[in-house]
Parts: sequence; structure tokens; C-alpha cells
Amino acid sequence: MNPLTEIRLILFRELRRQFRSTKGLVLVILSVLVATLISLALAYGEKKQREMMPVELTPEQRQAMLAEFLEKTGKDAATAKYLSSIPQTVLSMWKAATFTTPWLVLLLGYDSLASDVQYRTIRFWTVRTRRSSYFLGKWLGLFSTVAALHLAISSIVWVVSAVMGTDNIGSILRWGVQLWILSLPITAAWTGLASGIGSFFRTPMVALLTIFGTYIVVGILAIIGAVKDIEFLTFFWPNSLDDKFLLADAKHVGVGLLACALYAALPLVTGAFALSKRDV
Amino acid sequence: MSTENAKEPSGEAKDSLPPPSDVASDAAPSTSAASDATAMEKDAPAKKKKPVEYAIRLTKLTKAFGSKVAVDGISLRIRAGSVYGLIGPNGAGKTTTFSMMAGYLQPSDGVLEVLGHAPSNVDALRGRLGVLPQDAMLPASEKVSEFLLHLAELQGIPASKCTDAVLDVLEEVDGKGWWDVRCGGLSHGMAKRVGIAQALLGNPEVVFLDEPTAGLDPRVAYEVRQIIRRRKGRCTMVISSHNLQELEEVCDGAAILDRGRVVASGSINELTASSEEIHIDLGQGPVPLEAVRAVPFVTSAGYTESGRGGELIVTFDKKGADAETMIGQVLWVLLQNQARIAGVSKGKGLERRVMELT
Repeated sequence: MNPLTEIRLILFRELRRQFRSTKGLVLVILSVLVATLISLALAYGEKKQREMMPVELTPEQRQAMLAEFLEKTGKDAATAKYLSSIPQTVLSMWKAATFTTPWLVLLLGYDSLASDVQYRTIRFWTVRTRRSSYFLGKWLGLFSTVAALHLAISSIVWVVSAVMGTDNIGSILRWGVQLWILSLPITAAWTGLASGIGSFFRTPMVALLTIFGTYIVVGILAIIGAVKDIEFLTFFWPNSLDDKFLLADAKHVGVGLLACALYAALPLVTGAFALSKRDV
Repeated sequence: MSTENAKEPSGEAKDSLPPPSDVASDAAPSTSAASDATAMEKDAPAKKKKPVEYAIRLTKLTKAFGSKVAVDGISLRIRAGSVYGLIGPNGAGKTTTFSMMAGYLQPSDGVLEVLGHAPSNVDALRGRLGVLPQDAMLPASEKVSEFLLHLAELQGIPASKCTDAVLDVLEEVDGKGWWDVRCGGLSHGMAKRVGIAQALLGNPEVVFLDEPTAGLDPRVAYEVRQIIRRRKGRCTMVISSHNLQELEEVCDGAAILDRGRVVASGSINELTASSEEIHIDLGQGPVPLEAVRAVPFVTSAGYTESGRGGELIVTFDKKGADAETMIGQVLWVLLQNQARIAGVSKGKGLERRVMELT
């Protein structure tokens, strides 16, 4: 059996486990509820703002006004035009969902491997699958779960925006899907980090605290990077890469993708190697 | 004899039974064995189904946790098709040895082969090795069927045959009705049997069972022993257990471990000296020791009083007569001398042997 088949089988089992667990269900319900409330608030705010305008603007006029505003905040003309074309409720919700990603990853993934090692459940698998496949299958399961949650959250704002008529459905869907796809590398980076660190521990609580501690460290590095204007350091907090993905420039998007890929790959390779060598 | 020991590796092993002569010459191993193992990994697929004489080979196997040496240079060979026991008190190193054989723990030193492959070579051993780990929890949220079907798929059973394979093993452990039961809802005995079912899934060539009856009530323990008996001869089984009576019943051979070393190994007959010693429980009355000592091939006879009677231990030259013949002759002498016979057994029993050695 090739490793890809092993990973696929582990992935499907992991998805079933995640969405059936109490923790998974609670997180799904909470995320959907919160996302609905925020979406309604955003769409309502947007609508109110338009109503307060002295004259009713066409979508093109609104876009031009926003682009002008964004240029004043320091964005170059191309980026300002690019960003102004995104439905603002969809963009705001994407930002909010991206902000929650590391915390969803933390809550869903901290015990993904550690509890299997702690309760020795992993022993049923190690005689049947390569440990690296097991690890990568688990990571893909976590990644897919968080990505699916992200999609659920996003799709709520699409529906709300469409129903409340803040933007046309074509634009909402086109940008909504595009932004969700752009969130995947960031999700991969966070899940890679959490899975990689989690693979070193056999006690879920220790894994949780260590991942959280790592978040604080990378967060501080990113803040130092932002304050001192050292771009490389800001990459330590993968969410800060969302700016790269929102620039109308393939080169910047490429740098963002590369940074996310490295961010995910390093802990994943280390974690898979560590699990394959350690005692279980 | 279906099971043999490779060597007595340590000073402590000098008390152990002498190794059979046919295995003594190739007991010492090491670099050549290691390179053989490496070579086997390279062409694993080609050799996958090649029959092997010894299903498991341990050569100077060592495991240290920091400065504590849990397993200290164990060497064993377990013949394919046999049922082999790992015996010893707590801390003897049985579970550590078992865990290395199953690939859970990495040896600190030495060579370990299962069906000619390192246990970490999952691809070569897929579907050929089944393991019941001790104290491993089943995934609570999954149904028994989901769990077993997933494992069946992972070990390479064709998708169309997975359901049948799972039903077969569930039937074998008397658990056909558990198909839709969540693993978290199983009792200890049921969970143990599901654990055994996953170990037997797909009829593996080698099955490791770590404490298969620990914590089970007598009835379930009996059923588990029946499962093992039914599998006997169909695969190589290695059983780690504290239950010596159980091991004596089901095993062909065993290794007795103490403080990380093999202190004795061989067939159950050898370990219990059942081919050269008989034990006779006598009631109160005459004990014709001299008459027993005069029986041909008897090398010694001793009597120990205990309560209302005692135990007569007779050793004999196994080259001259087998145990059954000697039992007949000794009993005849005892009856002629009006001794009151309460019970007869061959050998000293595994329990007594273990108590002597550990």
C-alpha cells in the first residue's frame, strides 16, 4: 500500500472523528452562531452606511470612493483598486475568520496526536501504517476540518450579504470563494505548526500549553517585526501574510504562499520524523 | 519441539535449561544477522510470502530508558507456527520486549526480526502481523464496525472483503452483536475481545498478545483461551502473561525473564522438566522411598511432608524411559507397598519453575 492511500484512509477517519466529537460539534455550532451574528451586523452596518449617504451611489461610484480612501491610507493605486472591488462585508468576515484560525487550530488540534499516544490508541495503527502517513493523515484531517469551518463561516456571510442585497451575488461568490482559497495556505501554516509541536508530547494538556506558548513567542516576534519594520519577522505570525494575498501583485502572493508553505512544511517534516523515531 | 531458545546470553542464564544442541551453533549473531536484516528490507516485496523457519528472531536485544536497562541483551528464536510465552515477574522486561517486537519501542541495541523484517518495516509486515497491545484504549467515539473496517482497509484487505473479514473475527470473539456498538460503550471484557479481534483480523501469520486475559472474569478469560487454542497451528503466537497456568496450557515454549534477562527458555516440557520428573501427592500412610529408588532409571526420589500427606518427587533418566512409562512403574511400586495416592503430575509446573528462577 502506498503512503498516499494510507494518508487518505487516515484523513477520512480523522474527519469523521473530528466532526463527531463533542468538541468538534460545539466548535461548529459556536462558529456558525457567531458568524451569523457578525455577518448580520456587518451587512446591517453596510446598509445603514449607504442609507446615510446624501445621494444613492452606483456600485462603481462606491468602489471608486473606497479606492480613493484606500490610496489615502497608503495603498498603491493598483492595490487600492483591487481591494475596493471586494465586497466589504465578505472581506471583513474573511479577516475575522482568519483571525480565529489559530485558535480553532489550537482547540481542535492540540490533542490530535498526544491523546492517541497517551492512551496508546496509536498502537492499533502503527502495525498497519507508516507513522509518517499517520501523522500526515492526522494533519490533513485537522487542516480539512479548519478549512471546512472557515468555509462554513464564510458561506454564512455570503448568504447574509446576498439576502440583504449589499452586493450582487456574482461578486459575493467570486470573491468569497477566492478569499476562502487564499485562507488555505494560512490554515496550512497554523495546522502544520500545531501538529508538529503536538507530535512531541504524550500529554494533551502539555501539548496545548506548549502550542499556546509557541503562539505567544511567534506573536511577539511578529509584533517586533511590525514595530521595527522587519518584514521577515512579521511572517512568524502567519495571519500577517493575509496582506500579501490581498495585494494585486502575483509576486507578493507568491512570497506569501512560499512563506506559508515553509511555515507548514518545517514542523510537519520534523513532526513526522520525530514520530517515526520515537517510542509509542 | 516446536520452539527453541537461541542462547543464554547472560551470567544469570547459567541456571537455565541447556539449549538444544541444534540451535546452539547459530545462536550467536550480530553483525551478520544485522546485515541480513538490512538486505531483507531492500527486497521486502519479493520475500514477503517466503516461508521462514523462525518467525521471530531476537539477537542481543537491549532497551534502556535513560540509565535504566529494561531489557539486557535478550536472544531468542521462535519457530514459525508455535505458541510462545513470555513469562516473568513485574519489571522483568516482558512488556518492553513485547513492545519492541511489535515495533512500539525502538531497541537501544541488538537485532530484531519478525518474519525476516524489522518490525518498523510496516509495508513488509502489513497484514502479516497482528498485535493486541496491553492497555491500549479503543477509540471511544467509533463504532466497533467502523474501527475494525478502517483497520482492515489499512492492512490491505480488499474493500469488497473487509466486511466479511470483520464479521469473521467478530464471530471468532463472540462479538457479532457489537457491530453498531460504540467502542466507548464496551465493557472491559468486550473491549479486550475487540482488541483480540483486531489482532486476528485478516488471519495474520504472527500474532502478539500482551496480557490477553488480564482483568477478565474467569468465564471471559476461558473464552479468550479458547480463541487462542482455536488459532493454534494457524499462526505463530507470542503471549506475554502473568498467568502461568494459562501459558502452560496453551504454549509450546516459553522464555522466563527476570530483570531484563532470559533466565530460562525452551519448550514447556523442558521448562517444567516434565520429561524427567514426576510429582505424586500421597495421603497419610507408608512412603516406600527405597522401593521407588530401586525402580529402573530412577535417579532420585524425595518426599516432603505437608499437612495430611506429602509430595513424592521422582526424577529419572529421560533417555531410559519416558514420563508415562515411569509413572506406571512408580505407581505400581507405590500400590504394592500400600501407599495412598492422591494425585500425579508430570514435571514441576511452570509456576514452581518460575518461582525457582526469579
